[in-house]
Amino acid sequence: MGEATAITVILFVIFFPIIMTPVLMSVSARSEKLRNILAVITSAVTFLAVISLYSMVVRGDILQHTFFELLPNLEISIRLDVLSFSLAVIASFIWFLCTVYSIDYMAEEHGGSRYYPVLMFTLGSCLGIFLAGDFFTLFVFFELMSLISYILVVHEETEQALKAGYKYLVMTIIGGLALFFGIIITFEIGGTVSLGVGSIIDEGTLLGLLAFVCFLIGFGMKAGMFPLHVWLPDAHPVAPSPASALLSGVMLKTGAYGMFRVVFNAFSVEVLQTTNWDIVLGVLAVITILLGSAVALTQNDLKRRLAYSSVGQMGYVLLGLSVLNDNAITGAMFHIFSHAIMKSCLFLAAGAIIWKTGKRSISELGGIGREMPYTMACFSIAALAMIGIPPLNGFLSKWTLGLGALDANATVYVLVLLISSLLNALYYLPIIVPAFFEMVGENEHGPALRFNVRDAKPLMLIPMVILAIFTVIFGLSPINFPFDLSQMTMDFLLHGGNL
Amino acid sequence: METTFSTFIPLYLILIPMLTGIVLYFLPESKMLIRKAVSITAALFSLAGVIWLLPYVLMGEVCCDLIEFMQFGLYLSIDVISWVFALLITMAYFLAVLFSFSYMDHEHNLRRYYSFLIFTLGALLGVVFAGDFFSLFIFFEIMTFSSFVLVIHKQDREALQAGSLYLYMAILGGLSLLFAILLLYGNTGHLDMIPALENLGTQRLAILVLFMIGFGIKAGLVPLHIWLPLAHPVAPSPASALLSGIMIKAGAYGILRVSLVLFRPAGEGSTADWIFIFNSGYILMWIGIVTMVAGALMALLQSNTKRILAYSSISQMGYIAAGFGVAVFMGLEGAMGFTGSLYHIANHAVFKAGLFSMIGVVYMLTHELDMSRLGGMAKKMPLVTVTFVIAALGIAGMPGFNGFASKTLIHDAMLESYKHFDLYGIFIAERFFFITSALTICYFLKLFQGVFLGPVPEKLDRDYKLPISAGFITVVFAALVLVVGIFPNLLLERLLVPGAQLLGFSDYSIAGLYGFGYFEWYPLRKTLLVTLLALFIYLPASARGWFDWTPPPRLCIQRLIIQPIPQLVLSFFLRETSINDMALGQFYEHSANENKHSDYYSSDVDEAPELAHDEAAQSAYYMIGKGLDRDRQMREQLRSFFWWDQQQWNIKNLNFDNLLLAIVLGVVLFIVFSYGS
Repeated sequence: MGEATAITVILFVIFFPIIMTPVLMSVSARSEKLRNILAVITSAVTFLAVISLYSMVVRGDILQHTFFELLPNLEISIRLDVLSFSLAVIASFIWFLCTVYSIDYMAEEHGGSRYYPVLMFTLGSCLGIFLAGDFFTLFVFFELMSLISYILVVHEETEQALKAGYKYLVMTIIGGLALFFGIIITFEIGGTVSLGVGSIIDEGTLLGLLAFVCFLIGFGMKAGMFPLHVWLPDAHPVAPSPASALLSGVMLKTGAYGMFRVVFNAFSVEVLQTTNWDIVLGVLAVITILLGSAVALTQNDLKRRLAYSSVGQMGYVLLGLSVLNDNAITGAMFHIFSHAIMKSCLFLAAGAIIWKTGKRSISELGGIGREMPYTMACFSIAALAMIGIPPLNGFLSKWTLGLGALDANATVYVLVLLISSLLNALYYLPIIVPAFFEMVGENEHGPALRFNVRDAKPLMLIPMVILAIFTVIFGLSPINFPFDLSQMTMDFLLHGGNL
Repeated sequence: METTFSTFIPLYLILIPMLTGIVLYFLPESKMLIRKAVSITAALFSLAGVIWLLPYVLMGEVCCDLIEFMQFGLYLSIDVISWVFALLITMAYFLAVLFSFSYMDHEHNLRRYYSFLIFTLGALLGVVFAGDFFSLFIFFEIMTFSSFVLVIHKQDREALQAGSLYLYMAILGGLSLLFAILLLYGNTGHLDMIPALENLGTQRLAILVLFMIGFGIKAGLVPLHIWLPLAHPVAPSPASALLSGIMIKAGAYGILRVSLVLFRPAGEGSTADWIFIFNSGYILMWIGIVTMVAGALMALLQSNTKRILAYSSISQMGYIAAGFGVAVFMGLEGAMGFTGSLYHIANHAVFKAGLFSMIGVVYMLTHELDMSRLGGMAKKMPLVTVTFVIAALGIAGMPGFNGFASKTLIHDAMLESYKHFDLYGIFIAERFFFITSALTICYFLKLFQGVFLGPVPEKLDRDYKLPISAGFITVVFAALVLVVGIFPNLLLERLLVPGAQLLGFSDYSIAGLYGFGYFEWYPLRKTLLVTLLALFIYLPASARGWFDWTPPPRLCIQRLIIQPIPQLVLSFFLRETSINDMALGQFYEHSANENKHSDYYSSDVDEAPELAHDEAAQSAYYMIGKGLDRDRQMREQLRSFFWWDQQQWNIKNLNFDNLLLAIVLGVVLFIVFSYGS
């Protein structure tokens, strides 16, 4: 693939969903069916277009293209390297599955004519973040995505949703401001904010530290890092389930992606390690992991428990990023993939269960596994992967992260990972075990049914099943596409230079 | 000797049962005949495959390298030791599946049962075929989860409680194992099962302890055994037979590979290394001794038949651990302890699976597990009675039955090490061994008397028809006990000694095992003494009803330690984190409110700071109040979070000894010390 084609494809990938937004809006007035099909086609085409960039990425090529400069050296540009590609591919893939899932899910909900256009617009801006060529462009798309996804958060329009949405909005704006400040400082120090120049800030001055802290606030807010995670457990559960899956599975990753760019492009490994700022990240990551996992244990609302679990799991990624060696970066990258797959599967399954039974409380869900076997089987596989049971993908990322921590002689990090796994087991197993094995009484035909519901419709089931199969394949299989990508990313970031 | 055969057979042996298990799950519930045929074929296939491997295993090693799987590569390798385990597993599985045909007919959810039963076979074979610790860990975890489904098959409250305790302890063990493996990899850069003591560096104690916790939970070593007496009895009898006969051996297998293979010096080994080895072996032996005594004592106090057998399993695992301990601290001279333990693993698999099946047959026909409501079955089921007596004589270690072969070896190994080191501690350990053997006879006398002798209760006074398959398997188990018992040297010299040679014991210590004199006066005299002591304890104690005595619940280890400590730690941890989390959220909210207020009163700037102070004080006050509320809520949630509730402490389900028992033990000890040798 030539460079010109690649640029076209990237522009297409970012702007096609955004252009489709008004189209979807106008179509939905006429036919809901057409709108749904168009939305699925949009996300599918976007996903395929992202995939088509693979041939370029696998060669190790890097594309950095500037369209124009707003101010001297402050440009609007795009970039494609293996890190961008990895994130873009997982994001568009999960998006496609969630759009398919939405068709049945949203059929009985209100506001479909608002939901689908917003969903597509968010996809475009999300891919814009991953494919941006400098921090300023990234910032623009970042704000766009954050603000638009507010509409997804408050979709239910209940009082609770509005309150959570308000919290989300305020925190996002604060985060955005911090991010903007960080970018200004970086520009002041290095004279550029392009991702194509490698380490922009190459010494650890006080101003540099300020920039680091600002970035940490801006991206950490999005990634749900302690102490900025407070919006997350409120905002994620109130959204419609496919949107929750995207918020937790994909949009959190924009924060993690931002941290990757900050660590490797705004600063560099050497700067962070000589100034010991990586320890700040490490400590915050440890607190995030423990806090997220422990508080998840105290939640009784299914989706809220999943949301807190996301907080803890994002801590894994940040932990890997703070350790900064081969295995740790591979592990962090692979965990981005794993978590995206596992958590979206969990949210989709939880959504199907809540949609069918109307029950959100975990203690009321005993026996659901007999009535919705496939849904609950997907949930269980993803949850076991989350705990880190071999041979599922969650185990592989935990194992790699553990090896990375040991390479850095940080045994305590391994301990934190294991404690968190134990806590994961403690909060996931009490969902799964009663779901399958709790008897709710018997009648003459065998075990009594509690909810009298059937399994979810095929269009809802298929995305979950695909994700559940992927958790197995990407743990066990010798051909492991995400793991290869993670290793390529690690190779590129740590050994291939930043240009 | 050191030929290596590279083949995919081990992989097939693991994968085919696993895939069969998955396929069985999707077979409709009504197709019972096909289900049975497929299950037994899978079990037979594995048995045949394992036997087919024997000539290759005796010539060297069979291995299978799967470099790409799981990104870090799985590696399977079978040597004689693994093969012995694999043979036991497949044999017991064949018989257990056969037993399930008649036993499970009246149970629910057979689709799930057979599917997970066969799936677990693959995982178990994976554990013993694993050639490095990474593969071992993976199959170990798979085995834990698939056997969980077997444990809770009944799905009643008792089964779910036992199952959740089993599951959480197994996960704890798995994580401890994972930590050990990661540390091992961090220190040595490989995970192979080869001697590597020198490379383990300063973390070797931590690695050893973590490994021992991980495998010890599965093996049921005291004080990690608490799940076992709850989980084994609640499973359906064929599954109990497998859990007690086979699956706890996965833990023993791990202990073997860690203590006798990994923690050995690759070269000569420095003095410090050997001291470390001696200490670890000595402690392992004592853990074994404590386990065997505690298990036997608790078995004596039970009235539930399957629970007696479960405690008996703990006690027998103590013998095995003690034998391994002796083998470890004897260093290169430890061949006898090692072969004794390996032999006991094999024998225990046979007689314990057999005993569970026989008690299972009784349960199948009478639907009764409590000894107080059973009795006189000797008249009703003569065949089961005879096989039960044979298996019980096997476990009691009577000459001519298989337990004698292995217990004598372990005992001799202890005596030998006492001569070698002249440590008084080993002498005392040997005394405990002696007493436990007597206690073993006692609780089997109790069990036998309770189930088979005495008057038949009115409710159970009817004719019983023993299904052919059930009769067949009890006879097979009894025959195995007898064959091994009558020709004890056969198995020892053909299979176990080659295993000992693999581990690099000195030729001198191995030479002593050829033509070992089982039927000489010395071991026979010991057995006689043990029997006399057993009668001496049993007759007065049973006459006065000491065995029906129930220890007070206050002294239960589960209530004293295992329940409150994690609860305290967890509740503290959860309380702190959730209060922090809430406080953080409120901090944001209140600061936002203050900002809003400051905006409203921006015209009146003077007032704003004062207001802000008030607001801050109020919010702090509020937060503290909220925190206390939250605290109360947390406690309530935690109480419901743990499944076992405090009110239902039934005296029969307590599972540990107490102070009074220690005094009784002391008196008996005193008698033995002044009376024996």
